[in-house]
Amino acid sequence: MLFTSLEFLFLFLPITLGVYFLLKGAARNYWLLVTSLFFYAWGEPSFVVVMLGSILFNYVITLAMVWLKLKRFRKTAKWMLGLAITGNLLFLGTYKYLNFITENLRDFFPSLQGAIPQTSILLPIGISFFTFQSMSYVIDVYRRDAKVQTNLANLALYVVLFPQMIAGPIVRYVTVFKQIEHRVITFDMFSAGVLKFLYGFNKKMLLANLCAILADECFGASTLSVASAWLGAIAYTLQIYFDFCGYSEMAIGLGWMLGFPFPRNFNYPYISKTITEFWQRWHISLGRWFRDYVYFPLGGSRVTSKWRLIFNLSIVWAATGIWHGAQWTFILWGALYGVIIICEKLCDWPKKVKASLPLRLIYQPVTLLFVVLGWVLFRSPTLASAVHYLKAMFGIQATGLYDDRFFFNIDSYGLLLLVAIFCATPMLKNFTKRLAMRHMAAAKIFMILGYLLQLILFIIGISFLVMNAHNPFIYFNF
Amino acid sequence: MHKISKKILGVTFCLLIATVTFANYKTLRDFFRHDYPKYTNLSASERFTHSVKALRDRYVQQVKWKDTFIEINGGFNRVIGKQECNQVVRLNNGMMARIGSNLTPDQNLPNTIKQITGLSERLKQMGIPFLYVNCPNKMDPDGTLLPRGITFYSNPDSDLLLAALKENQTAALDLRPVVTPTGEDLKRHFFRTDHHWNAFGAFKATQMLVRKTADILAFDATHLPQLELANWEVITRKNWWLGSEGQRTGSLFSGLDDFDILIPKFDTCISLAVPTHNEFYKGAFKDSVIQQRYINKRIRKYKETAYLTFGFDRALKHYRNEFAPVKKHILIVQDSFGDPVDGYLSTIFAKVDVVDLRHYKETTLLTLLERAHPDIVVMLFNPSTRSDMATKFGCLELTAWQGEETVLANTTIEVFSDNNDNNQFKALPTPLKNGQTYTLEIENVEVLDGTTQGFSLALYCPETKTTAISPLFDLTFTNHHGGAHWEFNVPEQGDWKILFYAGVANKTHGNSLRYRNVTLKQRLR
Repeated sequence: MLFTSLEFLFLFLPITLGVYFLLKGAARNYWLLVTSLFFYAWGEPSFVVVMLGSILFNYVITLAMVWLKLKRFRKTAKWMLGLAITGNLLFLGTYKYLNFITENLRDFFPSLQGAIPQTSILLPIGISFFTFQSMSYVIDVYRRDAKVQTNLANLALYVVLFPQMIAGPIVRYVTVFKQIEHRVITFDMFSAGVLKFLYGFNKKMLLANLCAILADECFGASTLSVASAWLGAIAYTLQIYFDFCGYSEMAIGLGWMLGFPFPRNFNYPYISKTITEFWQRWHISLGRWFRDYVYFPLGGSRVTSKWRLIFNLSIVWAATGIWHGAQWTFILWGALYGVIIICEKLCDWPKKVKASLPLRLIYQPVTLLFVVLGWVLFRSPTLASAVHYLKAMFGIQATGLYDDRFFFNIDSYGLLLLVAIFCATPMLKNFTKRLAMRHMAAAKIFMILGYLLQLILFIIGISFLVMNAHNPFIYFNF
Repeated sequence: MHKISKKILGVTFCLLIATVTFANYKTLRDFFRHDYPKYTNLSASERFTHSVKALRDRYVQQVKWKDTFIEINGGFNRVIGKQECNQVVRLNNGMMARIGSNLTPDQNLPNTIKQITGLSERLKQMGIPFLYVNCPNKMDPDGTLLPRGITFYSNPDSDLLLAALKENQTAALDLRPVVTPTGEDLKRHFFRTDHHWNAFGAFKATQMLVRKTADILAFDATHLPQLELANWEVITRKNWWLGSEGQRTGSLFSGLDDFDILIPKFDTCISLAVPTHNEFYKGAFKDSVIQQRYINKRIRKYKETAYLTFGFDRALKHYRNEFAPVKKHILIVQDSFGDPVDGYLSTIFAKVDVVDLRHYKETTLLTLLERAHPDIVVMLFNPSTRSDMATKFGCLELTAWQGEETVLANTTIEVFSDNNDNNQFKALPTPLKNGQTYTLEIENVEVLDGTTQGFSLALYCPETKTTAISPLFDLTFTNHHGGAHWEFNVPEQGDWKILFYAGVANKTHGNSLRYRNVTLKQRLR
């Protein structure tokens, strides 16, 4: 089920919230668990069993690990942790990567085609997200950042909670384990959640989806002019941001409505001055997950050897690329980011750029350029199509500098793109802050108008749902 | 105040969600009443999967205030400057045009050409002239009205088609130079928010069609008053309706259309029989041809279409006009573009038969034409439907004529019914053989009691209580124009009877009819 669907907004959500607020205490958790499982089953009922199996595995193994630790079998407990992580990675690897592995092995080693079967395992929705959350639980408990969860239902709730289960943000167990046991929901918090949800919904429906139409058209064209290629790339850059950011904000908003303090997942990534900064602003929960559970355990930046640093970063970025999907384009995309970040780290580039305006003026656009080009790679189904598109962007094999279709798209989408670019920056937020400092009354009126606008845009967004318009969600397949 | 306004936002959101949820309770109710019971025999997983799909589809189709949301959506698209909304593009003159299949050349054009020329050839062998009428698409000839960056292929496709027909010596009439030579003509002759031409566009087409037919059938069309627009009264309804394209975008994006109809100032008495729907109308043009309900009362924007004023799309329609100046029989193979044209033609031709291949399933087109044997066959399609229609001609299916055998000769059949519809029909006792083709001829029909303007026949199976076909005839026209002639196939299974009705089946009451000189012949194979 998508948050941006009629059945979610006008069937699932009102019933879930309505009953939730009528219940008290543990009953709320059970109700949320049931509705979350229903939410997941809506997409594919058979995968519910797979997910529950994963939860049970992590539950049992964590209990065993904690018991061993209590009995001072620390080494065995560590083995248990290793087993848990391996089990989760095998689970993820099988469902997400086995088809890719067998397909490539068969391509690279044709003589072994008889020995290597062609697998066709279906990908459970959100497997990357809930597997990482499960591993987060095991690791946080091992580290004693959180207490072990003896109630299986509560652990299941943490993993399957519908706001963030399918597409994040990846909520670490330590962030919410207290709220699982006991949470206080105020109407202020609920309203803040509503506002967040509206921001996310409007971004998704009105910015992401409309940019998607333009991006799909450009990326689907057999021939492109330079201008159309760039237009498509920019449209996709905006689409993926508002799509993912929008969905994350909806998830966060829903979490707040239910009393869970989900953390922010995006912080205006397109104003980043360096690629390093970009990844501190983009998909923050993923970045922090890899930082806390992979990079820091490997030693992080506090290693004496330059080669060790390169190795640590390479592992993280290879994993980041692979996490996004079983495709060479994702792997290459992650690897390219890895290379740049390694270079930036070795040159201490982020500090230098921050300290020097001229450097910032040059490197900030370069950063954005690299991000846009990276999205072209990310979007393309194959390396060949990525190369073809990139060539068109730079005038190679393009049908001229511009074409008629470019002008049509500018007419149709120009205003939208301008608004989207504006919304991708914190200009409005900064303006509101400055206004609040200088003229409180005006700021309040501005804010109220803003809330009204969000409601109006929400209704417009619903009109798009009713029209059964273009409503893809990119990160659904991760 | 900040917190209060946020709380108000929270409350408003909840109220909004709750309102729309409760407004759509019928969707959920209908799902449990109609959809869910269908899946109870399936496994739990399958039942769940099917239910999810059914519920999702219901929400999309049945959502409350759908029309309002469409308007909001169109308005938003207009505000942000989009040129295109839901597959409809705004032309430079403000009219709407549907995109989609027009954006690429018609891949089926070669087959369409083959089917049309093949049909023309077969009709030539039967001695029936054929005329292909190329209707204009809603576009100027060079496509200059399109926004920059969009190309329509309907005109180039039509050019190719007409060139091929000319090469094959198939008669064709291209209406584009007359109906849509310029953007202004397009505005005058087509609806703004609908893909059809309007009353004036159809009238222009009729003028050209009749003149061309006159050349082919050698009659004089130069002084026909029916072809002078001055002899028609224009009735206009302002801002009356939202056409097919407008319903996709909402009126805030497309605007509304005026609706005009043309009513003849001269006297008319025309009958219209629609056998598949058992409808029979007879009277002045405005009473028999025009569906007045769509112009007498404001129509619902998204639920009704004013274009139906010109008539519904039906498998078969039979217009009869005893007082028509041209005593010819024209058969039109058409889609909805022909609806207004048929009406105009019925004021000129004595017999106008119309077949719509989207609905006609009884026989192939060729068989129908062979049975009807009109004086001319005219084919009139909107360019976007012609390739689909061309797949239904059935040119290869005509069996060779071997002659026929009379199984019943010159019989009189009387049918007496009362006001309670007792004995409303009588069955012909002659047995019919399964799989055979028969011709029923009736020389004359006399009304003994009551009044009726039409009469029905039927091919009926008493065991299964099913009617295979039920033609409907204009009584007066039949008596003045050589009687009624009905050719039909008996289905392969069942015991079938021919029924003679005392009037129009289930419509007229208390009549008594006498069918004179009824002859039944069986085709030999």
